[in-house]
Amino acid sequence: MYLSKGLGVILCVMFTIAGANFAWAADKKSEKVTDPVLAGFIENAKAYVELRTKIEKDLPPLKDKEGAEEINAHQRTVRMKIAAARSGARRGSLFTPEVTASLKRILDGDLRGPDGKMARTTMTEESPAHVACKVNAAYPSNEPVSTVPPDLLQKLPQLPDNLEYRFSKRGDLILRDAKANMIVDCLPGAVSTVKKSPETKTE
Amino acid sequence: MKYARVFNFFVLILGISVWGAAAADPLLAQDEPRCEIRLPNEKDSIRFAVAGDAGTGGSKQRDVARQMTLCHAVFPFEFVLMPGDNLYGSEKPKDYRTKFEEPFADLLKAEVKFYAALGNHDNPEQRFYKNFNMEGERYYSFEKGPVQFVALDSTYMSPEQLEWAEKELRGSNKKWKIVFFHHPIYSSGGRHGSDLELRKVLEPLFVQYGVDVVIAGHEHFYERIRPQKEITYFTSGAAGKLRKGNVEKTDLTAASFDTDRSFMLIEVTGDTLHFQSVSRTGQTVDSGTVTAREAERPKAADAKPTGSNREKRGENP
Ligand SMILES: [Fe+2]
Repeated sequence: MYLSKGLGVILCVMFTIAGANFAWAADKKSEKVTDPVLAGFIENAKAYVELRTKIEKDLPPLKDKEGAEEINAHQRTVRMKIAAARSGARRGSLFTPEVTASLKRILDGDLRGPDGKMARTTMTEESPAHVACKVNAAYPSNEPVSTVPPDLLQKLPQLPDNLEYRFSKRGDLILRDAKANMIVDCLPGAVSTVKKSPETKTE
Repeated sequence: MKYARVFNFFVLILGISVWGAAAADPLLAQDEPRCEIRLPNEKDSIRFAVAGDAGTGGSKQRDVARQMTLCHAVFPFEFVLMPGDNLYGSEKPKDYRTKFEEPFADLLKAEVKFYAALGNHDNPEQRFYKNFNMEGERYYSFEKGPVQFVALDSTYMSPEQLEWAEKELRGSNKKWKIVFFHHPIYSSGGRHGSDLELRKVLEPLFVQYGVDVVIAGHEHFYERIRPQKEITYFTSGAAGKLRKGNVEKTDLTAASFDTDRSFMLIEVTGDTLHFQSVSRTGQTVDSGTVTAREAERPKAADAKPTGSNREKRGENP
């Protein structure tokens, strides 16, 4: 009797914990897609990735032990083929006015105050000064990329396979395809920049 | 007669220039370049080197690589960790040659493996490059004896990557856990300093899952940080670039070197990790030991509950 009562209590506690964990996990996963506008944005991003996957299928696959020539040729070919396939794409194809408004709400919310200033410095520090906000253009390969604060990445909708958010020194938000090293879309002046401290000499 | 005098004059000038250059550059001034090892150098230990921010293709990077080769002759390390900025500037096939393959040709010939992490100057497609051994991934892990190595992409610490890192660290029962990535979360660098955003998300994982040592680059100097929450942090980001005099005086620094390029030599023997930091010219600029966090915990039999994850998993020292 006592045993079955005890078992019942244990089971009850287990189910409660499991339920809470499940709810937490589900909440964590669904966090980014509660906004239907952003859910639509992610769907479009997935469609872009599908296009890239299709293009890559027609090319010799890149394995994990390639030479520099193969890596270079593969990336260039993928970029050129994607650019040709979406030659009609313009700035705002993915960052539509509605998506822009939703993203700006996240950016503005996260980048306010002293903590926000620190994040903005991280984001724009060492990022390329003259990256053209131009769809289908190559991301300048001679330039470093900005570091995107992990906190912000947790708030922005999570992008599919090898698409990433990057920022330019001017504060433009760039949707970058890391595989093709290409600008998929660009949102000028998405964040206000922070005045940079004077640089120390690097040899 | 006149020509002989002119010739003698040129020989004199040449002699003075060579002497001047030798006096200014200790590498040229050395009679016999060599590498003095202050590590146990045991046969069955895990021996490796660290060379961050190397990929300039410049003469100083080649000096560092040459010094590493000298050290390899007496301390045969099996592999090299590259905590990012592996190739500066353009990344055409010729850049892979001039900024990596040629400077490190002797080590590559000796079958030394390189394991790279991505820095802010690196194209993520480096993950497919055969000599960087990244398994085609932006973040990955590998094991060597009692050590688990985890390479992260600190330029883009997505929730997906964090989840992976947690799983990786939680799942490993190795005595040693060494994580390497580009941006230091503790640094006295005047240019960048500690990456606090990254620290917020990474440090709790490192503490909880028993990471012993963290190796970063990005700051172009060498620095050893006083243990933070039992973890030892190294910045070794001067194998190619140098930001002279950029280490600011903070309480964080246990040792630093910012007047020339440098690299690290590391050896793991049992519960002890031995490290030695060597300058471009072969000077030892820092050396010492780190004890495995696991070894410092009380044995299971007399252990009081500490809430430590590793003890919860029953992995006794
Ligand atoms: Fe860097």
